[in-house]
Amino acid sequence: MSPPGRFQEVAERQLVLFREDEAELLGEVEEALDAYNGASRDEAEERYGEFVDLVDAGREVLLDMRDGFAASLDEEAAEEYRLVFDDLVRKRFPRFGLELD
Amino acid sequence: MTEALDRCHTSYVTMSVLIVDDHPSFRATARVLLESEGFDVIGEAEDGSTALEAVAALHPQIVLLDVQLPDLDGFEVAARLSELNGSGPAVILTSSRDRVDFGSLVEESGARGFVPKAELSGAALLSLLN
Repeated sequence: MSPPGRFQEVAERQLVLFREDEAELLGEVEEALDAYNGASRDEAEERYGEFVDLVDAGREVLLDMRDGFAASLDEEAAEEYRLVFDDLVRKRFPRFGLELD
Repeated sequence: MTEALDRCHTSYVTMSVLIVDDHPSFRATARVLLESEGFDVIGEAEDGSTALEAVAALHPQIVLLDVQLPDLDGFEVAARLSELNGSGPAVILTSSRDRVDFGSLVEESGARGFVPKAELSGAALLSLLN
């Protein structure tokens, strides 16, 4: 049984760094969503595609961050860490967490 | 309270760190985590032999040293560094396992302490140095 809070601080700090390093991308995601919401029927599909592409790019960064660190842990610890990381992503960056598992 | 935090932060800033782990992803993560807390990460090494060379060349104040390395294990590296007596760095061992899994090996190696990878932070390192 693992003590509570293991990996919490590591994952929290990783996500703080993600927010700082990817601030431009995060802004673009919100702009793309606004553009989609304001798009005409003719433009909506294209705007949605642009939004999804940006979300995918952010998710890719998060997956690299998560799986890279997990690779340095033994199997049991890696699984524990992934659960903590994914849970935090769902809370802090819900747009990117939907398919992280 | 603020003064205490300021002193704490100042001590981070003045501390240089060498990170030793065979996983580049761990080294990269540890680097950004520690740098975000004011530590000066002056080098990285991927195995024990390289770590010993890097300590001789860079003179870090702290070595964050993974237990499991491809050549010498972390305990052996720590023991060799402890032979430097007062001129050697403070060695902090780390692993994805818990300290209890290693019995008395941490103390016997001469390392200053042990931080599980699950609890890696600048504060955790600092607490072992005070």
